Amino acid sequence: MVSSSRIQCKGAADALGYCHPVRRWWVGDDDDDDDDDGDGDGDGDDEGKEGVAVNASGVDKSHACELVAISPYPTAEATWPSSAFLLGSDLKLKPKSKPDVEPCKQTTHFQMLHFEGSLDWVFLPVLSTSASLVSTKPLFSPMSSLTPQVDSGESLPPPPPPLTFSTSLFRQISPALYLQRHLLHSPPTRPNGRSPSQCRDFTLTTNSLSHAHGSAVVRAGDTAVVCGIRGEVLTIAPGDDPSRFESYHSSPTSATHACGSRGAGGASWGGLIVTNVELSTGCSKKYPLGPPGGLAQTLSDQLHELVNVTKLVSLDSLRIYDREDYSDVTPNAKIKGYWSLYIDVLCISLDGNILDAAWYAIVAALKSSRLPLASWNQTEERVFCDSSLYHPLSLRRSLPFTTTFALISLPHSDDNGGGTTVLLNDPDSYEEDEACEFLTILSTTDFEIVEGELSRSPLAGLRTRVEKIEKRGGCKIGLRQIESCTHQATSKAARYIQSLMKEQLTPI
Amino acid sequence: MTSSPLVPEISLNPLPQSDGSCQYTCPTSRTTILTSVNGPLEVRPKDELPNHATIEVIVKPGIGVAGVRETRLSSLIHSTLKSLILTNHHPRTLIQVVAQIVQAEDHTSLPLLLTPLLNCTILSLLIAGIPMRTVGWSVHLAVLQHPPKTVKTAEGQVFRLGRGGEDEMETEESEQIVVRNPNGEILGQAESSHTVTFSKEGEVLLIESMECSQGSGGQSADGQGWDISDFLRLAEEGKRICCEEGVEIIREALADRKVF
Repeated sequence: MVSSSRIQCKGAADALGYCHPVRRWWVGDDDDDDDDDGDGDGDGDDEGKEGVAVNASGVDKSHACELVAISPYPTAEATWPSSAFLLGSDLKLKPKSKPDVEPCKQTTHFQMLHFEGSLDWVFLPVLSTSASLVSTKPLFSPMSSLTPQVDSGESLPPPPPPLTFSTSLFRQISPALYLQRHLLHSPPTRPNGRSPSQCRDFTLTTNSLSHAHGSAVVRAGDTAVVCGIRGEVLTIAPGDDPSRFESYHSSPTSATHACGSRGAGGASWGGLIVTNVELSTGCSKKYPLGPPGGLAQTLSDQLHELVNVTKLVSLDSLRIYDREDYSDVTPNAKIKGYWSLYIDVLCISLDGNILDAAWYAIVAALKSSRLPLASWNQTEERVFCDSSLYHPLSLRRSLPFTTTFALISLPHSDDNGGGTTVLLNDPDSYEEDEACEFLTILSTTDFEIVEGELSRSPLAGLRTRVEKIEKRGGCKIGLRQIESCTHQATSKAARYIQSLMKEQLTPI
Repeated sequence: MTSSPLVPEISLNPLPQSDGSCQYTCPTSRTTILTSVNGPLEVRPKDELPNHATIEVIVKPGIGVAGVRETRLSSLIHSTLKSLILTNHHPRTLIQVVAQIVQAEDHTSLPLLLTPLLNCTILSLLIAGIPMRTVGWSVHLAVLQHPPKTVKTAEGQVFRLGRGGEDEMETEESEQIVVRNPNGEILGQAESSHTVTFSKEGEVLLIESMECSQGSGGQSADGQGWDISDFLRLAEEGKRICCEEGVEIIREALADRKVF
């Protein structure tokens, strides 16, 4: 039921200011229209409450509506139902008939905005009367039932031709519909040509930054991130308790400690590893230059949590001992300091799913890191680093990877009443803008590596351990879908491992 | 109905000047959250949405100034509320939620803060009369593998997950217990922490679950994590708690308010 107070009619000038540049349909009604748009707008608010279609002058004389719609497919006409219910699940157009209709003279095109799941209908006139749009061509067949049944008269204008748009324009003005039409096809294909469960190809380059201790450049589709890792020596002051750096997740003993750790720039429990994400690099027009916004802060925190959850780096390899010779570690060697790792992720280009790319870059960069050998010098009472000797960081054997999915809900199909949903693996930013529900799975899988290659055994038999699940927004995902997503995460992890091996960074 | 030690202390409208407010104290961890909801308000032109209300969530820390953790918490709450609030009922307005952490065991711990924040926010939205599609309830579950005897838990707080049919793992799995709404001490010994939020109808609103065992990392961390089937059984249990007991708690708290 359309609530009357929700229907609004705005003038053409207003419309362009208000409307989102997406989700547009063109509605033309074969009605007369006085050219005075500005005058009529005020009336439009009142008249619009009565019906669904409102013309620019606001005088509701529409007895029929013609919907000229755009489809990405050349055969789209066949998919349109011939009734007034058109274009997707909940887009309904009800022509309102009035007996006292003046003969139609001109055509007005309306832009109709409808947002999924709402009761709102907003009709906005976009084009004022334009003679160039009027043509004598008949409407194509699915529309014919909607053409007005007006008595024959010489003043009847010829029906307008269907407005057609190029695919690229349709992609711009109605992303939700564009995406749905692609996914409703069989087999479902995303606008970028991938299948729903297919992730983008990615490339990895490690150690391209000369001043960092370890670095990686990851490019997945049009998302590109650079990750640099820099170690800094953290000297333990006499009387300081080093035990707080010895474990991930060890809880603080009191609130005052927690307070102190906040002030100390992140050096907290298990906080030897500090992550930072920089999005203000011109990677996307959504993130202008300036202080880090909400997404950058959330990502930094998420990545720090991922480091803590996975316990990726062995904290033993970050210790700096009081010893002269590097070969052996005597059990009673005193810990004099720690390596603190600063992980900086710079996004060069952002086209969705930055979390997966950033995490993969971090894993690869940590894997390729070489820290100088450092030791405590008794006489100088300082930590000295060797100028030529380096040691790698010791990481876990089974490397954890994240896989992100975006959920798109499709309109109701004819068979079952409920709408279906599609989970898109590795969404790009076009899909991210339309999705409201995201699922990120962090999982590890023990792959068999035979002669430097992943063994070709079926992935289904492998044991996958999930270490983190984050599902945010929306309400449509089911627990069973999460289970199937973990299988996809396994196959993605296999690709990650393969690409790491190509870079000579074997997981073992 | 739950046994009394598990029912949170809820006081409605402690802030009379706001449209709706709520103070929520977790019974076990004593985490106290105070939220206020104002709306619909006038929205800044920058944030205005043509057909929807703008939701703004501000999480204020208990100590210090807000950092990335608070930003993350507010973004998690924001994404949950977006699927609960009928934003199209008040287009071009602002619904502002301010959550103040009053007391917490660990002010930096996401899992300990998230459940009270979500529950408190949902209660105050109900008080404020913001139109919502449904209500949700959040519960925090911690899995302890080898529960030490020293853990002090309230009655009914601990349960075991029943296993269906898989006998070979029985002896190992019987040592695994699940603690509802654990406090910081229990969470410190837990293997994994799962914050699940379900709506009244059983829809999954938010899942934030992570491995949280202690350790020094590296090779020792290999093999951590959990099997997805274990998680699904845990989530089913969480769904039962949220949909039955959580809704009952909301119903009792709002008994005389006639808003639910």
